[in-house]
Amino acid sequence: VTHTVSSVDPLLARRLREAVGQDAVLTDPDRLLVYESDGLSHYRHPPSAVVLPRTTDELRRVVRLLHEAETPFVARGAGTGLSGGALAVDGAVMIATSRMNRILDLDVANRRARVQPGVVNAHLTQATAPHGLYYAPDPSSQSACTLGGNVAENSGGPHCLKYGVTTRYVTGLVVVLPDGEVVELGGMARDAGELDLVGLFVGSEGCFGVAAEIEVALLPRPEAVRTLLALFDTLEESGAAVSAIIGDGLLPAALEIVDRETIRAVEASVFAAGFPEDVGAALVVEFDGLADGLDEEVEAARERCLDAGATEVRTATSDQERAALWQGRKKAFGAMGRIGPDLLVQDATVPRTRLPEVLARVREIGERHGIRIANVFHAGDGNLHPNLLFDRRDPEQLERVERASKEIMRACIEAGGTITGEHGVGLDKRAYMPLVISHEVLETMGRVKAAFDPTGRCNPGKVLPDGYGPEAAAR
Amino acid sequence: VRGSSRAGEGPEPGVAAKRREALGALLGEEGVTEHGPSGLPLALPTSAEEVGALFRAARERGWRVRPTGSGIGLDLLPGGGARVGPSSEPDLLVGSARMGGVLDYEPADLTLRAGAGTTLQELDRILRAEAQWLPLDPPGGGAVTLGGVVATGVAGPLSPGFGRPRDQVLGLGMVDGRGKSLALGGRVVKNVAGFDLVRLATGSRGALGFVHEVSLRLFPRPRVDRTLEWSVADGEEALALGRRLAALPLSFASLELLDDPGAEGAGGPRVLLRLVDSAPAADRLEAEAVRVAGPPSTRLEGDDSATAAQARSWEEGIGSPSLRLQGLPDAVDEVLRALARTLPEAAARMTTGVRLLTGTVRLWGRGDAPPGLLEGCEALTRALAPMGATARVLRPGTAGLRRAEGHRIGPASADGVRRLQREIRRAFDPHGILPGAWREGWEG
Repeated sequence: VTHTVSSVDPLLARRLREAVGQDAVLTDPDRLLVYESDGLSHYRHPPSAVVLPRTTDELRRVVRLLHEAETPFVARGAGTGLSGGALAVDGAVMIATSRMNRILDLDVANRRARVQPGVVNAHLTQATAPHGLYYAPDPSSQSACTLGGNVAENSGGPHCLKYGVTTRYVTGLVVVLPDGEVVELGGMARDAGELDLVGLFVGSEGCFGVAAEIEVALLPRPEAVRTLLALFDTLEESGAAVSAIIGDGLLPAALEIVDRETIRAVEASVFAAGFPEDVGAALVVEFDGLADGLDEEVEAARERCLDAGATEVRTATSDQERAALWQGRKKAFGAMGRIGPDLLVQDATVPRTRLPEVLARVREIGERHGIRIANVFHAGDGNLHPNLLFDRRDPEQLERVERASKEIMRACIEAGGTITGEHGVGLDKRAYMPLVISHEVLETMGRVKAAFDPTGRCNPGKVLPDGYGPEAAAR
Repeated sequence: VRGSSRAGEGPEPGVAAKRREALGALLGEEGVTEHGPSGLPLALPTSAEEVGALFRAARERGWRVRPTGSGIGLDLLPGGGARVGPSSEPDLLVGSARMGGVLDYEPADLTLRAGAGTTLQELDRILRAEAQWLPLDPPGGGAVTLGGVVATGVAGPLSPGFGRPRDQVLGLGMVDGRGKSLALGGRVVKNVAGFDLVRLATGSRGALGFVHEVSLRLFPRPRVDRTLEWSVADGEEALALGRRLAALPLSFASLELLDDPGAEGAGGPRVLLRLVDSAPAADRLEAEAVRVAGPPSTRLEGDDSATAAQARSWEEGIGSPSLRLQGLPDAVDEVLRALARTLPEAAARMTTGVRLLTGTVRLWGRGDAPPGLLEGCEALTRALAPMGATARVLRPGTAGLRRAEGHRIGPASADGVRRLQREIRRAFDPHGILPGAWREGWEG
């Protein structure tokens, strides 16, 4: 990561102000500091300027000006990303979508919404609730993160086990390409037999252009929800319960585990959920759908948990009780702040059946490097979030964290998994891409990137390792 | 140095024989056969390496290669000529028949990796033993191969409940137009390592490469599979009844209005509602449906429900031609009016399937296309454009196609989108050996 702060060319700044207004272009270094990092706070680099367009047309003009000035740029939603994907390296200008926060159309009859990229995920669900609808993908940061960021990262969330991730719900996009051209991709009304450019754009981490409008499919709100919390002496037992639940042919909406280290952090914090001190792991199981048959499913899951050795199973029926059961899971990240000043959250995914062995290796790796690791994970999807706790002011510790982090990724790949399930590659994991993706595929990705962004100025330095960018594709 | 076939007339005598000979040298005698209907050489490689060698030879010799699975989707003229326009004209076919079978199956992970030549029927037999299933019901029924499902990306009636092929494909093994082996995605259900080339390849209709293996997400086999069928007097009544069902704030696995004017007996207009759920939930869904729609005329349970659904998708796949219209769910009436206005004969003769939950209207027939189908499709495309809806031909059928050459049979894309598609295709196939099932007006 470069740490030189560059300032934007004054002529370009003037043109940008003409395009979007005086107050929508920030160049004051103090104000730029706000934008120096995302949720992965040990990477920091302020942009050379921040531009805040309000409309698709303003966005188009901004991108066009940046293209003409041959200036790299990066789009940013709420900055809750966990891979350094929205960092402005290489003197890039940042396009912040926070003022593009309008729901453009709520089409109840067709169960769809058209939104600007800066709309907050939870706000969309709030706006659709009176019509009995909701937006399914629910990243843990949903009260802050934006739909534009969700599209860029193809975000997941606890309920993706049953409902799938962002890409399943994005039906159409208006995209400003890196040269300022505006294209409309897909659309619920359209089946033109074209290449699935919507599917390709979702998860492209801001490297193909900026989403200016997003059309999403909404779902009818489930009539009933049942939540169950099972406590185990060991992490292994909780994993066995998950396998038994899936093996029983049940399809919960969510299956989430927190480990002993996480529980202790939560219990020691203001978020204390009332877990007994000596608990080894807690499993949250949630079912939703029609009320009919739901209680039978909960009962079946409860039995599977007890068979696997659960010491206690709590069931919630009211919203308040549900919230209490989720507390330990949802507040885990916040609580960890208490036990380590810095947090590196890993995001590898493995086949579910390999979870027990991978968790054992994660523990061993942490012990060997002397790094505290607290696990929170989407057990149903095999998506692990080992949180490596450290102090970045200690360079030696930082080095150990990086070594441990890489070993964890390797262990997950060896188990048939991948390096990132939902947080994205960004800046953080791009050097590790060759561990899991072949030279030929990386090269093809570079060529696809070049189809959108031949000059490589759209979110430079992300996703693809050095040597695979559009420059390489042109050779 | 392009292959020497001319539109609609097939290769010159002797050329095909020479190609077959060259292929035999690459793949062995068993690796080459003939595609009956077209007379084109059909290469049947057994490994990604063989596909790579084939594609490199194609580049050297200027062959254009079209991947195929079960062959259901192919509508090549006798002699191998193009269906519509010259850009889709292959010199040879490459098939997945010798690349079938399950490669990896871990039931507890609910994932599976199989060769592209595996048919849905074979797959279902294996999944059934573990009480699991793959909820995809594309046109062509159980005869369709996994490679075909991925290449066409076409969803069946179950998509409201379970998603489209793009939602179930986790990873692909593919050989691109350069002959390079690409392992895309993986076998875990969540994976965002790099750009989503899996979704890009799904539905790319053979234009990016030859898919030789597929990793899929599976589901627990439903405890209840039930189809409720209401026979009604006419299309109007079917729509009204269907609308009442669609307006319920419930999630159904599939809801379709079917009308087969050519069929005897039970082929008349009817509404089909499929419930795939736990027993108490299915009973509740049925009760709610009966409350707004009255008691059904027929009720199929278990295998009967699944078999009937498969028979319907089979008919759509095998019968040709086949059209697909797409609009917003609440614009279905308008789409149907435009259809009756611009393609009266097709609307009267072909089977119509209307999916109210997704806004999809499909039309298919048996045997030859009604006269003027393709020309009418152009008029239909124009009529649908103001409402943002589209019409496209999945298979044009084989009758009278030469006359229709050069006609657009799908909506045109905007210039910027066409340019992106062209450049993405070039990224995978820089030498242009893979025409894919793409034609004028679809690719710019």
